Amino acid sequence: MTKPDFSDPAIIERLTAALEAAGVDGIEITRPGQSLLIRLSSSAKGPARQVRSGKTDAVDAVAIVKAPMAGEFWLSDLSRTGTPAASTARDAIGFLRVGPILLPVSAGPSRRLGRHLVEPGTIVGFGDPIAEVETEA
Amino acid sequence: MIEIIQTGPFNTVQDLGRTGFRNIGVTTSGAMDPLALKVGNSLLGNETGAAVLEIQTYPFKLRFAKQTSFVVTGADCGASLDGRMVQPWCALPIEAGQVLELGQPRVGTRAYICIAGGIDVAAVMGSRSTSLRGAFGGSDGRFLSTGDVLKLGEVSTALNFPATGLAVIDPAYALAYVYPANEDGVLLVRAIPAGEHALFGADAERFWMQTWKISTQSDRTGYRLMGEPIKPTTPVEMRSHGVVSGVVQVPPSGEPIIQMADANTAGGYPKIAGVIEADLWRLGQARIGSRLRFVRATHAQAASVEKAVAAFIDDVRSTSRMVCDALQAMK
Repeated sequence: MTKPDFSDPAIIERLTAALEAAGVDGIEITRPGQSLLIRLSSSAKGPARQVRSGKTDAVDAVAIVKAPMAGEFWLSDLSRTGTPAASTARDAIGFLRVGPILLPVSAGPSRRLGRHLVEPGTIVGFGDPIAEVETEA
Repeated sequence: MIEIIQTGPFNTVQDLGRTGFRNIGVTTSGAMDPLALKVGNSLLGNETGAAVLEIQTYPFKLRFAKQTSFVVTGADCGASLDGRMVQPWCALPIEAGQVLELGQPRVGTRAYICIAGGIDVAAVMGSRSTSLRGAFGGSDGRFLSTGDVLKLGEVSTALNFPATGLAVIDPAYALAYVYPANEDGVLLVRAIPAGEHALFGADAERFWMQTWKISTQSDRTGYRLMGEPIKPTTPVEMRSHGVVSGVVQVPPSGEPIIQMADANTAGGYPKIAGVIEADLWRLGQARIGSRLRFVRATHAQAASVEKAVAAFIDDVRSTSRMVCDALQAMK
């Protein structure tokens, strides 16, 4: 399915009309690479619109790390030291546990953890989103 | 091959030891923490008893001369690879020329560097372990020294480890359900009463009740303990008899000695207890000056712990290969 381009005036116009027809005050849509904000307010001079649409840097700044295989998600290496995960990949964001084995999951080169998308102890499948990572400045 | 760039004394090549020759006075030797050796080798896909480097003095540094994979098990000594921190118990693929460095342990005392294929020194009497007393086995029967170059064994079916590595859960955590937790920093070591236990009368109970300290007179041969002396009810003169690692003897001073990996093959001191084999690795990681207490165990309990440990090692071996294969298939 093709994703709509929220910078397209025709799409913005159609969305605005739909909001007005539905009596909704506004909508904000954010997705990697694009965002759109439409606010509607009534005044004596008739309905006013505030529209902000644009491409963001998010597509480059934020990425999703997916599970490379099925396993139980853990934040630390469960070691006796109890120190935070410190794999040779300094960008480790957690581990997938399979029985006695732990697979370090990396944020990727020059990326750091934004936020985890799963709770520790969650069973994840191959390709499940695990975390949002951000490009380091 | 690997080249030793920096080492202190007492670092040696060890495997699971030279069994079957105690009757002719040849000590078994072998890793002081055999669990770390077995888990490291199983993670790498090596034979369980492949030879590794036992490091007990730091810093230690080596260079890999060829592409391979390795894991550092046992003590957490802040290992680094080309200056980047290496997670303990995590197998990593490496390129020729990379340098592994071990610092002072944060937890435990002895680290084991396990490498795919194992350390390929000549086997003597069926073992590659260094016998320091006999000056044979390992690297010319001596400690490792700077400049030593050691060959690596052939790898039949190498595992393809991901660049981020593949770790095993620290056995101290994974096997916590079969090991008693320390009490106020005191290591609990399970033992079974031995042949001369009854000779100590009321002092035998004090052996179990009190906390002992590992003295500075301790090494791979044995740990001499410090505490309130225990004595037999009557003086005992015994003929020398065979001893093995784990045997707890009581010399005339009344302060026990635990025989360790380089245990004497015979001795005449009365034996009050024998540490169960599955607990010896915990002693191998105990620091000089740390405290321990003996906990009375049964043969059935000892067998049960051994079974759990063996199952864990088997699980590490099979799961490591399964995960590596799965990651390859999903590439």
